[in-house]
Amino acid sequence: MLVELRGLGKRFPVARDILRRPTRWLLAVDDVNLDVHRGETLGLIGESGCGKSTLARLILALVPSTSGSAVVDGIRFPGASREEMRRFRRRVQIIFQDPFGSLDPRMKVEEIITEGLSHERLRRAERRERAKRLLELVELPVTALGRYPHEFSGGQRQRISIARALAPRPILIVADEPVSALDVSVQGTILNLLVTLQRELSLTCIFISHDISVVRHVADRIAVMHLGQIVEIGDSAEILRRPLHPYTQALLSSVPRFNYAPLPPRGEART
Amino acid sequence: MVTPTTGRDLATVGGPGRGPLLEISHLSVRLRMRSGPITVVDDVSLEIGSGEILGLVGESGCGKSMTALAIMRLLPEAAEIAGGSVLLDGEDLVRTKPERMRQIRGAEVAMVFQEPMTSLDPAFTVGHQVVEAVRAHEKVSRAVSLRRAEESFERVGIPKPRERFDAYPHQLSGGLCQRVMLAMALVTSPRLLIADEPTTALDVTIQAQILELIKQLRTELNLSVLWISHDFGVVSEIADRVAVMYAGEIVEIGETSHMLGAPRHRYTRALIDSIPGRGEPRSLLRTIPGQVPDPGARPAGCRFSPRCDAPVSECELIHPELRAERDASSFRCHNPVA
Repeated sequence: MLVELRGLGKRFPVARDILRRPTRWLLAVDDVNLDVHRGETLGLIGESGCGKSTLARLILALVPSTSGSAVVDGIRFPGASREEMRRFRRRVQIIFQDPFGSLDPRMKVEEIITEGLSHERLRRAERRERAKRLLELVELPVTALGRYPHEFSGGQRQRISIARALAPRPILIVADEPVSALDVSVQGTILNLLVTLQRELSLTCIFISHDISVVRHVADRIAVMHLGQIVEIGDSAEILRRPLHPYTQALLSSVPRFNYAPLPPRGEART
Repeated sequence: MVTPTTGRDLATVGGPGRGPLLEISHLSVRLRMRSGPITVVDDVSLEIGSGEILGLVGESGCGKSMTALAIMRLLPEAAEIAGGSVLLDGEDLVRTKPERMRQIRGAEVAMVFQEPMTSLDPAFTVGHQVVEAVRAHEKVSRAVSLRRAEESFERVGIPKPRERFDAYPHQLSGGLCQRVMLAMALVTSPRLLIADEPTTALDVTIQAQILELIKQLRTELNLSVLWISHDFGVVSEIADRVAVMYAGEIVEIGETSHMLGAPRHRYTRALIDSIPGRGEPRSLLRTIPGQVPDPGARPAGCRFSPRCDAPVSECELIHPELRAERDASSFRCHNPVA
């Protein structure tokens, strides 16, 4: 098990009294128990404000939890030592939603990709070699190294983000809505890339999205989040075929029903 | 020349009511660049019937938004209408005076943009903004405009309108902001609504509600809608007819159900195939290789040919004309999907 969450919770103060003591709380993540197996892709779906991004931040140890515990890659939170944290930061990486806001416009692609390798104290040529290999992995031309983010389209920038995330050879990738800012025609190429990379590098992946039709292409299992809790979790195909929780059913039914299917061979009825 | 929509039985143009409300003929938009002018909208002809929802689909950079802005005469400084006409109920918007155009905008043609959060003014309450929209067009008292704003809020399904009036945009969710935008657009009872990717930034459940709402308003108000999107999935839910745009021109146009079931142009087919959500879980998606060409560097023949999966010898050399089919659809392709 790569990720084990036990009774994990996070609450934020939303109102304070005159002494700045919190009087009301918002329960963003509420008693979440979740296991993520090594090498699997878990899809986490839910609407804006359901707590899925907060849960991702907890798993990434970017914010401290307010209750429960998390064990990620053998490191226990809360309570990780400084040395453990250093290892953890290399082993766990994130890909963000906005390909425009998440890359430093003043850095060249080579710097962006290799920034996370500074601890390895590589020689310049070695760094460049690593950067080239990463670009190949995400199917970008090597000439991209010396260019700046603004010279790329949204889909290409997302490839740069993926290369950056892969640079320190992580074991866990958290992708927070990685395709929802992209054109539908580009979404497919990025989703395919993520699936291929995940298989080739045997990565563990947590894929967050509000869109179930995107998640189904990448996830082995799907967890549905609603009001800070996981209301349903199971095998992707199973959840898509037979959603049990009414909220999951509601989510599924709001996806545009798109009934186009290639014509079946002659003689068969069209479904 | 191009005869995409003329000579057709007008009864096939959309839903209830008369003939086309909006008739775009041979519209071209040019962008002035240092290197010389480039054509971003190229000889586009479209019509939208009264009470009809027309979907305009294509990837980023294919000229959809420019077409919309040209209709509204809201093109950016560097762009200009190079030719063609835009008839709204017989009145040519391309040639009308700026003062008259200001009356038309909002009162007869309204527009909703992609980002509700950035299209609303953060410094004013939403009530103020909607009231202002009323008073910009009609000399009515504050009380009357307030009531109109309230009705408009109710119509788009915002509960307790009066309580929401005092809210600033940042205090509302994305879905609610989009409803406010719609309320603002509809408060003056326009006949045509241009919606440029209005649900892209929203959750699927909220998106479903907005789509439902637009369909309902179409029925209740006989509203005509130009729905712009890169997402065929959304368009399939809402549009009566679809026009597919690529590299500045219309490449296929036809009835939605027809086109989805049997697309003719290879680009339409590729767009449909690349929609996530079908096929087996964990299956790789079909994708379109390459990108939309820059307007300054379009291929000489078929503009889609470098990315096409079934090009024939003419494709590289001859720019295909829009061919009209018997079923009132048309497409431009040398080697259409059978």
